[in-house]
Amino acid sequence: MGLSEPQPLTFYLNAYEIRSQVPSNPLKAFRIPLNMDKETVKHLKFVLTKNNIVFHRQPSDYYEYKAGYYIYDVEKWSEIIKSDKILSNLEHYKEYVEPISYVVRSAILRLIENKLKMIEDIQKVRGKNIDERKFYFTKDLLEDKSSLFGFHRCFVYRVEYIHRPPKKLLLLILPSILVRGKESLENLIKRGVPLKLLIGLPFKVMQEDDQNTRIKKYVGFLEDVKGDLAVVRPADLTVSELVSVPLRNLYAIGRIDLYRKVVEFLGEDYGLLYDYKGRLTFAWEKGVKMKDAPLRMKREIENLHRKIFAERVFPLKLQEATYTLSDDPVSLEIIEEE
Amino acid sequence: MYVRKIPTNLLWLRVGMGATTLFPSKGIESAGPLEVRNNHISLRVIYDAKNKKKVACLLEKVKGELSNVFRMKIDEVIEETVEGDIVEEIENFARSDVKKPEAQRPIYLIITEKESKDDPGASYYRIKRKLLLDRILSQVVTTDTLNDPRKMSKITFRNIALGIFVKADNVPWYLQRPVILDEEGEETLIVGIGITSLRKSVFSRETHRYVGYFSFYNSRGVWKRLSPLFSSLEEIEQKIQQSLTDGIDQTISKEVNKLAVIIHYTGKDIKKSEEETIHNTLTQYANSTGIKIDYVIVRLIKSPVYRLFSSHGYGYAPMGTYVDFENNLVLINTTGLLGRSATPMGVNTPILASIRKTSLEMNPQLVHNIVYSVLGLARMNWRGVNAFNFEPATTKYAREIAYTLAHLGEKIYHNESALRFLQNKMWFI
Repeated sequence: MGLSEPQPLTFYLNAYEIRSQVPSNPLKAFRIPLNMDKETVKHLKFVLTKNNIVFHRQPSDYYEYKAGYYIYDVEKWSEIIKSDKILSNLEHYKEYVEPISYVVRSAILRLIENKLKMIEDIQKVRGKNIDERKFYFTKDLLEDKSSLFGFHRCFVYRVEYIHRPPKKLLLLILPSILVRGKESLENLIKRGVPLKLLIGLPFKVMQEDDQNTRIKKYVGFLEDVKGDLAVVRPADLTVSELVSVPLRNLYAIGRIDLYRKVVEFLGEDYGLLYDYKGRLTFAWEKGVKMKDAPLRMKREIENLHRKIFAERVFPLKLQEATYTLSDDPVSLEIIEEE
Repeated sequence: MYVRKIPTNLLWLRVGMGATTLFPSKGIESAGPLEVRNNHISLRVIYDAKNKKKVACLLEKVKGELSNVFRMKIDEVIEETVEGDIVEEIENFARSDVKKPEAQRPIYLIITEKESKDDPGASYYRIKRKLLLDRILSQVVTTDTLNDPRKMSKITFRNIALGIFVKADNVPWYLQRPVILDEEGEETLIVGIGITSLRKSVFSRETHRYVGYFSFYNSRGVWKRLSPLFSSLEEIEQKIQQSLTDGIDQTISKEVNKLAVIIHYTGKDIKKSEEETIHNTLTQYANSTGIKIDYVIVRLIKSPVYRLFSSHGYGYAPMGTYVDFENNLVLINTTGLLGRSATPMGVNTPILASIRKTSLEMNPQLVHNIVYSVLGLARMNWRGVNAFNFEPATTKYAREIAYTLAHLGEKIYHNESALRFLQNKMWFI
């Protein structure tokens, strides 16, 4: 048997290139340095959000770009600060920014978000990660089959910047699953689920603070039920005290494996939930490993790219720059080294 | 941005009789484990009476694995059935075992109900706390394993046996090729750091204390020692300095002149100022000992949005493939395709490594060595015999260690024998 030639292997990322059609024209931005007190930051964030301003927050200096809030809605911002004493007192620097640069990442992220919000059958999932956004398809795939959980297709996207010339902006797309608790603890108890099946389970807890001004959402483990109140231990190493919350403020979380006995008590098909979870996470099907999982996920990424991002989101306009999305995912090639 | 693959010869593991393998399970089955230092153990098996039959089946299989595959003798097996609160009952059994010398204490095999390990109050952590204070090691198995025919398999029995084997101070396998940072280093230490800040309340973002650990591994990926860390906000720099210095002191050989230190951590809890503290600690250590130290600090991001596919077969990218974005970010496929086998379930998630700080000049060879430190340590997960481990052992047990340490609290510093046990035994595996 002769020696075979090393075969080139092609790799693909779940990423598409975001290109600017006029890369030579810089964007104009106001930069507000970060040296301000907490109250001012709070106010600034409030005004930025309320007015849906396209901006990027740069936490530290990055090559030629200084740290600060980069505000691209220059004209709108000029109007806003005219009537806002706190903001007009802040230092504003006029900057010129390359359309393909680190400090436009979040601006593009927001422009995409604005377009996605206009699509009828998808909705934003609230999350804490400022660099990523998650949207889900509102159709509950198990609407009639599970009273406890809603199963939704969803996707996460993120904008990345590659500094090494040629500089690049990438849109990362990752299909995912959203398992939503549909039934409150109060209703589960009303439906006769024995407490012994519920104690110890994790729940999404919505807790009002003492002044009833804020609602904090977190995961907590049910310790006990006392009348209308659930006694909960927050699933956070850092918090040791038990908390009492109204039963109606607790919802099941998506760990279907931990809820198996509850699902079965309600006479619903746990196997079906398990199977859907496997299919939507590209992991298993009918109880066995999905052998072609990467190929299926890649197809779903291509599907999301085509039907959502290419058809409904891009091209995007930011000042004079028009951003378009590549047709094919980023690919890289090597010769296998053995 | 370029893609490379770690050569397959760096993925080999050394097992018994000088043999090497890509697949730990097959390797130890045919050649035995690498080193049996302690081949006499006794087991105390504790379970709810209602599980008697299933436990008997499990126990027979685990004993078979221990003697046939891991080449260990079990001197005695004591079975204890309980009906009430298992944690309280364990306390009663431990009371008699603490009278025995530490080396003769049995390893506890405990069967508990399935519960979420995200729950800091889970009985798992309460059991570990109690037994660690009594210097007793334990292996916990949950009842869902007993009740699921798919889980009652050879691999599960082998994994449980592996846990017992490792806790008895034995070495199942290590990396065939050592991890290095550069050609000059005589010795390499790979250090895993986990630090969690403690918030004041559910509604507060304000932190008031830290709990964490430094875990030290040698260049073959063999665990050496753990340094716990408890600190107030004000003392954190001093405590980091102390934990790191103590760990290095206790771990490196006396005659070393050039040391390489590779630090892995996950999460956001280590700030720039703390990275600076690590840098200063290593610099001071080098100055005071005369040892030349080169180092790299790498933050591992475990849930990146990136996925990596290949044109090969079903689309799995080979284990060891990495994409260097050339901005100190590297995407590493720690699992994927290995030989003809692929990652056991679903699409594998790569790890994104952010190279935060280094004393060396960044170049492709340094990136390659850093990638191998992550990949190699992922091959050194002794919790299971599976060849596919997403996360390196350096950061893998951060949650278990932090939660257990939080249960133990700072009073552990005043319990010298328990502290020594905690530092020198692989109780968290």
